Amino acid sequence: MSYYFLEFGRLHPLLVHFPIGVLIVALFFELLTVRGKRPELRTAIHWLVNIGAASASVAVFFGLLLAYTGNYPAPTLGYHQWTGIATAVLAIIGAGLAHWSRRTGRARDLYLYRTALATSVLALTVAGHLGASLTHGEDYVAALLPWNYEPPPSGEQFAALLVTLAQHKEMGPLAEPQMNQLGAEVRRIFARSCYQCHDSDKSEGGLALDSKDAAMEGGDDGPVINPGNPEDSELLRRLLLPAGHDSVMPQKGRMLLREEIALIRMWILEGAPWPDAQIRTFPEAQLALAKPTPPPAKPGLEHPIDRFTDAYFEEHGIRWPRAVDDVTFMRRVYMDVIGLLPEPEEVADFVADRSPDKRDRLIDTLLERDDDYAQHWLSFWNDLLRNAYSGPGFITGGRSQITAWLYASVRDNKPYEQVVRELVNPPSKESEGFVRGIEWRGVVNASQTTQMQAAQNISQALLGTNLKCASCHNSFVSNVTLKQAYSFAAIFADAPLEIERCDVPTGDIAEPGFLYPELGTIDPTLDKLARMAKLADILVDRRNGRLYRTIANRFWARTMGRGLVEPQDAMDEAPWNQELLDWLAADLVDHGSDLKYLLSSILHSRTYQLPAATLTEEQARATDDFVFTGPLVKRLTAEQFADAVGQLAVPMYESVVFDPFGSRIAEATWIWFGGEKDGQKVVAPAGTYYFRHRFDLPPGKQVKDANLLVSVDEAFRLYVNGAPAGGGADWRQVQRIDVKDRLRSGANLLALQARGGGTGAAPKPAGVLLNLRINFTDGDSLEVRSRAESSAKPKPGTRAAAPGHPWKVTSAVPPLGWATLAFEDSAWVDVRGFGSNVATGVNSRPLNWGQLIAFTHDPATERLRFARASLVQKDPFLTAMGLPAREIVTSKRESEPTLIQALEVTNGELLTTTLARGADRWLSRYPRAPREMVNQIYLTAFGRPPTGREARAATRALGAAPTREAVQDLLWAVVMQPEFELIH
Amino acid sequence: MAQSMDRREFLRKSSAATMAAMATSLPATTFLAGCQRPVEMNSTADTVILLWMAGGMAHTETFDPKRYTPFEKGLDPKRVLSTFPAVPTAVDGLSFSEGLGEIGSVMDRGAVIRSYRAADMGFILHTRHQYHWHTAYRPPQTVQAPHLGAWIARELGPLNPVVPPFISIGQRFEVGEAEELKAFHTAGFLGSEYGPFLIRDPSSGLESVRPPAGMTIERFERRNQLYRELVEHSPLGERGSDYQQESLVRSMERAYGLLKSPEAAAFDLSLEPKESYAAYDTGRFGLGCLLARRLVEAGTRFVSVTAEYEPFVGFDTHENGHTRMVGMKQMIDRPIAQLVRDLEKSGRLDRTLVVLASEFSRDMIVEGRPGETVQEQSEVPDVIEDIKHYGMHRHFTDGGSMLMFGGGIKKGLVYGKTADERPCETVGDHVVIDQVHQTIYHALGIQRETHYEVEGRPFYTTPDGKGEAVLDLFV
Repeated sequence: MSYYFLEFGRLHPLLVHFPIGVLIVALFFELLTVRGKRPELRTAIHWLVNIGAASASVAVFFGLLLAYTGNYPAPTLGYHQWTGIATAVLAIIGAGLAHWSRRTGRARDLYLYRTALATSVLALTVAGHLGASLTHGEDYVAALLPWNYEPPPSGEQFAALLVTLAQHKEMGPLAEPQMNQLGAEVRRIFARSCYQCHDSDKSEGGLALDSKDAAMEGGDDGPVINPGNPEDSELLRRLLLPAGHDSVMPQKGRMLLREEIALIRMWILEGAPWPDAQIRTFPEAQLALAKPTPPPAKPGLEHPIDRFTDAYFEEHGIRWPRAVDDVTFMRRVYMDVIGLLPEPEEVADFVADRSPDKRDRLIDTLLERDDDYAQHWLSFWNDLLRNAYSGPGFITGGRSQITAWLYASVRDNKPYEQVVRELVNPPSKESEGFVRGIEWRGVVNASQTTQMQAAQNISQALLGTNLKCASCHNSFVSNVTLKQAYSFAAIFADAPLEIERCDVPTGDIAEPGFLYPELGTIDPTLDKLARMAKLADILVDRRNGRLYRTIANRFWARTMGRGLVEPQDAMDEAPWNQELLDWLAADLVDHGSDLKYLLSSILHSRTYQLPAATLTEEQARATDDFVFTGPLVKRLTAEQFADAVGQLAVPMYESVVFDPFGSRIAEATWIWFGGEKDGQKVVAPAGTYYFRHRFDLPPGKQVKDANLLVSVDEAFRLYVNGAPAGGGADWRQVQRIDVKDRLRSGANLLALQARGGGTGAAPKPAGVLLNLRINFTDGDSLEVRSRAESSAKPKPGTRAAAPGHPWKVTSAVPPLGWATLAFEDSAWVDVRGFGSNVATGVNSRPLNWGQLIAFTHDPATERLRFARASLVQKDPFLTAMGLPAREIVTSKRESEPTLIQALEVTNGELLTTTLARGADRWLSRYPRAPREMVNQIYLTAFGRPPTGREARAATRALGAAPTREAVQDLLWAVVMQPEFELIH
Repeated sequence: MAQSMDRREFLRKSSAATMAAMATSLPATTFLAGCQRPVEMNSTADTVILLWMAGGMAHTETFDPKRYTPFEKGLDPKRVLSTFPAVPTAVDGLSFSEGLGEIGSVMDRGAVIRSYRAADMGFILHTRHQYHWHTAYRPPQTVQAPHLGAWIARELGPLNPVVPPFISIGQRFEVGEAEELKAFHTAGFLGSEYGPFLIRDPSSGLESVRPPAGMTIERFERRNQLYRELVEHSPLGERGSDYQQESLVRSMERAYGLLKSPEAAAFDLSLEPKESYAAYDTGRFGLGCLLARRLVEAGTRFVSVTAEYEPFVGFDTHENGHTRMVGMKQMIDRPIAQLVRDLEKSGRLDRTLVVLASEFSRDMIVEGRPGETVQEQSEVPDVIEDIKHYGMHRHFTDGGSMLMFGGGIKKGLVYGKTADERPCETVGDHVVIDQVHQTIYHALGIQRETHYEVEGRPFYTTPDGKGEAVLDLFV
């Protein structure tokens, strides 16, 4: 018997309905014939009984197949199986007796037959009930059908309500709470399945079901609900039409479940109750925040989080596994706190440390690395607050960044309460970008005005409430109404805000107010700034449990791989552990909304040290029935991956968009030859260019020191006053040249011979970036900078520039002596400035030359160690690796690998060249020691030495005298390992 | 919530009698509610090629010529409807603007639609209209709307599993408004798996599917071999099977598979016979058409080739419109006609829908749409003295022309009509973007009800799932 054949057991739930229907009808007919009435039915009944017996046997057969393949609770399955078989046997006996009684004509045989039939139907009813409990409804059959991707929701909950209500009814008329419950449930069904076409905005066929009056009034053809009389209600009739029928409802989306229809039927029968009081149609989380008491501590489980976990584990029959080993723990906690790999020395020290509290101490040490912490967590906040370095709106000034404020807030661990206050009610321009939103050019739809964006983003990011639906119409998925969304938006409006429903003005003016008025009201007569201040007060109020649960859940998700509530932006969904969530949120408030405390609290728990849960594909994709067994395996984010590669090879990026240390030289800009074609500025042809710049030093001053920074894409030679002073061939490596001894009082000359990149017809933008700082013995200082004359307006507060002449450039090979002061350069042309933010580079990767992090006179200890990926311009590599666009609030990155991503890491230029340069670095450290190199590469990448087999494979690939290519390929193979890309 | 009840509780509470009563009180059809099969749709196409005339292509200068007024000094711009004479095409009674003779010669294989009406979004902005054209949703949206190609990639996948299903050729992203361009070159909420595979320059298409520059194929294979060995030897394997781990390895295998596959050669234009290469070679756009043809042969699902948008460049003529149109026509005419002929020759045209479109049209006088006042974006003198003012320099959102070939589209059809006098707006059978999308989906057999649930609400291929296919276009 093939496996596929067994799968046909799934037809059982379909087939059982046949004997159910037929046998019940047979019994019904049989009852009609009692006392010898309606003899004409006799033949039909016998046929029905025969068919019933046959179909019951077939159903039993398929049922046995299903029992063989399916996974059902044993006792219920046993009862169901035997009652099912009994049904079939009794039906066969019944059929036989029927035949017999007809032949004998004896009354006794007739009674025997009737008893058999009735018993069979009884058995059938029991079997049917048990079967329904086993496999709830038709979606089981549907799942077998290949085109059915999404099984419809289970009817179980509706059935449960039906049963409860039926039980209440047995005891008398339904009381008000039950009526309310029934009404709410039916309206929920309407909202889910009918509002799409039948709400007050659309009212197809003149019917709207979102208000009592409209629903009772009915559609164009009259009322559709006849209270008390379901059979005479058009609504029910339409719902019961066969699928595909022209008039069947709903026309869009899935058909209603039988349980849903049964509920609607009951609702109409009960007089279609529609209580006037507002009913929360959708489940909604409690606002208030109470701190639950953790279950009692046990030895080793003193941390409140662990006590909650322990109770949860007990309930789910899960035993505490051993905590992860040191190396796994270290990689996990490093990635979660600072987003970097632990250095091999750190790992060695940690593993060697024998003290019992070493993990706790490590957590605390990492949390104290404020800048590393900020550079990692910045990405989380950027996603959440949609703070980007580029994107729509920036061109026209319709958007502003909050990076500097955000970085400082994260680094200084500003209390969350204050963070929220400053976001919602910005004390300065620094943090106003979040509520300011994106101002698009042209007409935007009413749901995208900046004040509506503010309402939506605050709701989603800070409160886990979806306001997007409600900004066009009353939400179909939550209780939020259009009016509420507009009230919230009106807080941020400069002028009275008219409510628009689906882009159609309604004539109503929204009154400013908060979504949850129970927390506080906002006086609509206040001006905008006062309203925002008031909103900030309300939001951060301790009674607003939503704010603190939302952030606690996000922090939990970041460390544990999955939130207590998912999706994290839908905080009305039930958490898998309400008490734990409440405790985390309340504990956060009790500790002055200190976010590092929250993180620290999670990290110090034993729960955090549980081994990572490995999932199957089904488990990874499943949305419900989540059972927590430990943190989930996390994939490195784009930034973590880039930074980790940087640690293993060389940094992927050299320049940043935002430098938290501010150690940039703002006054120098990129200069190059200004190419023109047909009067349009174009990239200058590739080739060699010559630059000269004359400047004057004040007479009588003594130079104390003079350091020159220079970077040229792609190669240069520098001359100071005619004498060679240095050169370079990699723009990433900023050259620092001491030119003190070459300067003289009065006129001086800098000259550069520079080669631009690219080949022939496809030049790439090239440039010179130079800054010379001269300190005099008397304390004065001057700077000489590369810049075009036109952009020479000094900003206030900048260092004084040495008086000089414009930079000059030529593409023609000049005669000897061009690099001397005496040379006459009046035939040369002025340079063109490219600012400090040139988007250029190979494959047009934006490089932000002007913010080369090494381009500074500041000592190395006071600046970025390397360009962390959270601070750089978004590029195709980071995009492919999952960096989101940040046009909308993003609370979860995509972690599924994609083909485009795999291609980018397989042959993308950035990773390839980074690993090639990394190979040089490894080779210079271990020129002839492949074994030691492999060992160190493994220690750096994975925190562990290679296993014997890994070491053999890797050393074999390197050979006795490794080439650059061999090392590069090994590095590639290492960073592609799932062990590298995943956090366990 | 109060009414939520766990399974055990439910089983305890429910009684056989009530369940049976409930079950039998309903007709049998409702038992099968979940089993509805979507109505079968017959597709007329398997593949789509979109030829994107980025920048706003004037209909009166291309596929819908009007009265021709040659340039002369002192010309009154109000007199000018077309700056080129009309010339006949292969279809009786159908004329195109001069310079599109090659495309005209294949019009007996396709249809021209002369009644595309772009949306009115106030301030005219190319990238916003392009976003609208490619997603059928007006920007901005509260969620990231997917590109048409992403929907198709998600619904149908590639014809050949090693080839990316959605490929976009020719748009570079370092021009002005780059961020706005990126905003719709995305799969949005569908997930980046369905996002565009970007080939910025058709001549370097191969670079994206071959080993890194400078790496021999032998070394590439050795590198992959080493990677696999290390995966195999990794102690991670001992921890048992993990979905994330496996999917990472699988995605690497897919990339390796593509790079090693014979299909990768489709990306390599240097393998094209010299003659046929020359037939397409009018520059980046022409070569893009050639690459599109090769990729369709290899089994992609949706490929777009753009004339490339860059502010004030290409079709975005704010001055010198006439002079520049001569060049633009040269750029598109030959390769497009060649593409249609080649597809026909190989028998693929029947199942390949070729669509040519632009975000809106242009006019010499009217900015926006007739009767609407929007900010004027180019200056038109009262009397034209300089030829640089001779051309369609203003954005006009009504009356745009589109072409469609193959994929079940009628041959030699002229659909829709524009007025013969200014404003040369649509006067019949106007077509809006939702219809264009639905027409393409219809050809591919993708249901109108196709949607994706995002943040708890359904998001349809066209707004509210209401796009209507223009059935008159089909055979």
